Amino acid sequence: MATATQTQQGFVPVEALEKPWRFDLFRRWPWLKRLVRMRSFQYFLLLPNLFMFYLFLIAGLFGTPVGSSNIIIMYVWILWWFVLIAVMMPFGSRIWCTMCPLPFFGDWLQRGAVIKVRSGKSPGTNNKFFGLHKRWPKKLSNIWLQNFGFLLLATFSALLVTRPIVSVIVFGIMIVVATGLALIYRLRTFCNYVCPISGFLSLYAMTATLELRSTDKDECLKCTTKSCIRGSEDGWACPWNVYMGKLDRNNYCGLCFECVKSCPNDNISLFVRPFATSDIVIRGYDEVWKASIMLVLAFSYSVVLLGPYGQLKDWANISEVGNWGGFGLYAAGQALLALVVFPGLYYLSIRLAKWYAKIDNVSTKELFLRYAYMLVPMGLLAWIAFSVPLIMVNGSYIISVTSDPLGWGMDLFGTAHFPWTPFWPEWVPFIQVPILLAGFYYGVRGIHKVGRQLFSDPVQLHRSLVPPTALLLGVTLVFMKLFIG
Amino acid sequence: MSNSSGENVRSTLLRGIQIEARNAKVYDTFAQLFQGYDDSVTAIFCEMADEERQHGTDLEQRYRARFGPVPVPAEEPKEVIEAPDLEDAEALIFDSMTLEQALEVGLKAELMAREFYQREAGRISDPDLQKLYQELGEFEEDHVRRLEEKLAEKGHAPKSTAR
Repeated sequence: MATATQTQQGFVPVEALEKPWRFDLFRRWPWLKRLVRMRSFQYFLLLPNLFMFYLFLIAGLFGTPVGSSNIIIMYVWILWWFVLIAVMMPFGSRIWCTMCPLPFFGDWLQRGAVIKVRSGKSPGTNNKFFGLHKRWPKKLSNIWLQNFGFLLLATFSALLVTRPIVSVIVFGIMIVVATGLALIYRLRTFCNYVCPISGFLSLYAMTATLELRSTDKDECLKCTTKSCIRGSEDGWACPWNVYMGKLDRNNYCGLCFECVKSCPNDNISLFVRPFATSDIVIRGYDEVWKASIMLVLAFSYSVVLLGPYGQLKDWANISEVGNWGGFGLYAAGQALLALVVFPGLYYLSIRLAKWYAKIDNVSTKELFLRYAYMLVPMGLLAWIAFSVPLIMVNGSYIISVTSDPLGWGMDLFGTAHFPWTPFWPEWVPFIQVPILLAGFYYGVRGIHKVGRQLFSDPVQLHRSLVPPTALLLGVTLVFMKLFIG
Repeated sequence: MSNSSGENVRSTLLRGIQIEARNAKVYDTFAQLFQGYDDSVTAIFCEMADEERQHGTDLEQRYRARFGPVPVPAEEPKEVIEAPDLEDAEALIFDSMTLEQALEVGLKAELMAREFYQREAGRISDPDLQKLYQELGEFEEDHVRRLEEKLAEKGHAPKSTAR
């Protein structure tokens, strides 16, 4: 049986991908394009963020050690997290990366400039960079480090989200590593391969309703300079090493907009598109495991933080209880579930799909990679559902710490004594359930689209969807059970 | 040969020269882009750039023999007849560009050109222009064969961007 697009080992040409509608924001609002093309645009967003981040670090260092009274904990781990996962990711793709303060010092030293562009000939680019500009090891050119990094951070999250000093140490280490790597390796090595936050942003950016793309692929074909990736006198070489001429998914585009400035053909634009419909190609095992880790962590956090399991809470809460044996069990169980059990169940569903649909023209690897897309919208929406009670139940702390950011008894805006007030907690399950169902819907819809690219026979297509869909339904039901009891 | 037929042949040859020059620049750009990664990839892009320049020189000789000095083009050709391009937007992120994939970039462009010239040769009724298109098609056929031989030497596997 012939495949629908004659794919070979997971390769699908950009031209063959079925694309939904998209709306060109730069064409609709030329002022937005003028704004983005300004050299200082990114820094209008970044510098205030950097200043806030600096204040948070100061608060973490010198403020109260009580997490719920310190601005670094409340703003970063409740407000920022909620805005990042529930607003920025689905609607703004990697817009956080546009303004992220962590790589700022590395960029500054590497470029020798904050705003202006330096023309030159550092290897592979048309810009002059400082530092050793080395090639990152090929074996590490993937997101495995980010996968393990995030799993590690998440395992110690009880420390991270309750002890301000731990957050300061972690962010401090990240800034130092980002800066060090920028001086040794090319471009945004830290963001591409090391940053644990960047790893899941890359995965969930696939669902976003925003994309930066070339407007006319033929213009890119005719382009001799490829300035989008190599840079020019108007813009830096793509810090993320992405070639816009063939870009077909958001994962590794950090929305720095340098390509908008450097493209000599004015051929890059910002588009609005439907949610979780356009980028549906998972390309590597590292990305599949990222999806698994994220989904399992959403489950694990929901069990520990929202569930009625006191023993598990104690084990996870190493900072308060100090039961290292229990913590070891919790950490090992979580890692086992994320790295072995869930990927194993998913693999089993793929083997079943191959058997049930009698698939012999698509390899197990290809099906395993391609159908893993279903875990992307499901994972993101599970995280959003998990984050809803965080903001609705604990959001009132944000109001009080805004007036007393260091927990020193200040009352800057008269809200320091705002009592802990859950906002409409009885509504939480009614918000979570539709979000979970949306995750299931978009997951199934996604693999149906993938399946149509792989199989021309509708019977084979639908049979191939049954086992992975059953797994996804199981995941949805487990989350529902956790959220509504 | 009528005036209009001669003009068609002249402009077609000129366009061919421009396209070869453009492609040489693109291959040079790719060679520079992959500097510091796989040396064999950089080397093959340099080689392909040199070949394109050689193709351009061959076409210029033909042009000069029939029409005199080759004029400096006023603008870049608008058509996408033969346009090498990277298949994978993330090749540099994942350091995944192989020598075989680099050769495929060239092969795909040459196949595109061969198909175009053969199609035009079948469509055009002007015998002079038809002959030129046939010659250009054979020209590209030769490039296709050479790239396929190189790929065969490397034990060419089907292209894949799956990691």
